[in-house]
Parts: sequence; structure tokens; C-alpha cells
Amino acid sequence: MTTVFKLAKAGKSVGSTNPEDFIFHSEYASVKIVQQNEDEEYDTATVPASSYVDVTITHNLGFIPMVMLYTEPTPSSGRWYMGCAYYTPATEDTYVTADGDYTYVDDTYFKFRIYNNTSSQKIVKYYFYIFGDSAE
Amino acid sequence: MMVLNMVLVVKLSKPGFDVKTCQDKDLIFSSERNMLKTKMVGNTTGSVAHGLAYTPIYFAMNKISSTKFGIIGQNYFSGIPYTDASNFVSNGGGANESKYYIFYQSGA
Repeated sequence: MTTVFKLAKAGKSVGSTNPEDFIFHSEYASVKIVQQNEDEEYDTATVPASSYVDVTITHNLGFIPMVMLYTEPTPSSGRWYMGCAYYTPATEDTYVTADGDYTYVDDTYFKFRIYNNTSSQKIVKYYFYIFGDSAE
Repeated sequence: MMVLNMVLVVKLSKPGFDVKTCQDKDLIFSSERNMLKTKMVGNTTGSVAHGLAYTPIYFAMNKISSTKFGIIGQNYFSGIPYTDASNFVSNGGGANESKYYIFYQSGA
């Protein structure tokens, strides 16, 4: 016997065959976070003036997981960006490079590089989410 | 005859939080919040028909090498993955590979 756990949206029948009618359906996987910042608080990276810093996060999953990164490239600006880029946005002090030599995920680590294009040290806040899925 | 109009709510809180009083962010699951349900996952160097009647939201990661992928939103190669009403498109011209996660959720 296969047990199925389903919760239908308000006004929808739990007997529906449309997956969009459910808040949760055990036959359709949901993404699961397996690692994120400790205590769900942001971490910081100190980026020297006119230089860069490399950040390494060890996940040890044994496969290449899906990873999401959010950063606040200008300290205390309140502006947060997902992902990375090949340049510094005009209004920001730093950026996470999209260069695959420095920002990537493998079966053990998540690594990223933050460049600082200003003449003063910057402390950049970041959140990361590593999902327990390899998309394979 | 009395008819009760009850709404059943299922919640699971994180360790250390009271499920009756904690904020939604401290829940692992709540039946009051829709969850992303996965339509399909995989790797492709071209286009994949998603079979949905709308343009869905997705996660995609571009392949950098045989052992490395970019993070979600890292546009490593010139063609940026996208979805339309029919397909997920790696847009890599045959050589560039993406991992994709497509959800039952309209993104357009």
C-alpha cells in the first residue's frame, strides 16, 4: 500500500488530480534546505579595499546541490541581490563575481568571490541556502 | 442540527519554537502557506517541454565543468536559461548544460 499525504487549498477537493490544487502533496517533491547560515542569521565577509575575498562553505553532500546566495553588496544599504554578476552594479560598492573559476558549487564546497571596487574595506552580509537536491 | 464550519490547520515548528505562537518563518510547514511543488528536474543542453499551460517559475544552474556548476542565477555562459509557456531553454547552443528545477507555479 502506498500512503499519500495531501493538503488541498481552500475551496479545492483533496480528490483533485491537479497538483496546483494542493498546498502540499507527497507525490510532488518540495525543495528542502539542508544547510544555511547558522541560526539563520547572516554571515559577513570582510573585503579589503580595492581587492577581493574568497568565501568557502563546506557542505560535504557528495553531489552537486542547488545553491542560492543573497548578498548586501553595499553595507547597510538594505539592498540585497540574488546570485552574482560580472560587474559592480552602479550604485553598489562590491559584487559577487559570476566568473566560474571563483564562484561555483561542487560535490563538497560552495565557493564565491566578492570584489571590492572602492578604496575602503567593506563588510558584506550574505545569506546562503543549499538545497538537498541535485536536479538529477 | 448544528453544522460546524471548522478550518483545520496543520503546522510543524522548528525545534525550540512553540507551534501555537511562533512566527511563520519559524515553521517548517504550515497548511496556511502554499509550497513549491516540483513538476520536473533534470539536466539539458537544449530545450525541454515542461507540459504546463503557463510559464512556470524555475531554478537553474549552469554547468562550468565536469565537476562544477554555478549557483542559481549565475549566468556563466552567454546564453541565459529561461522558460516560456512551453519549454525550459538552456540556451546553450548544444554545449552548455543546465540543471533545472521547474515548479507548479506561474511566474508570468
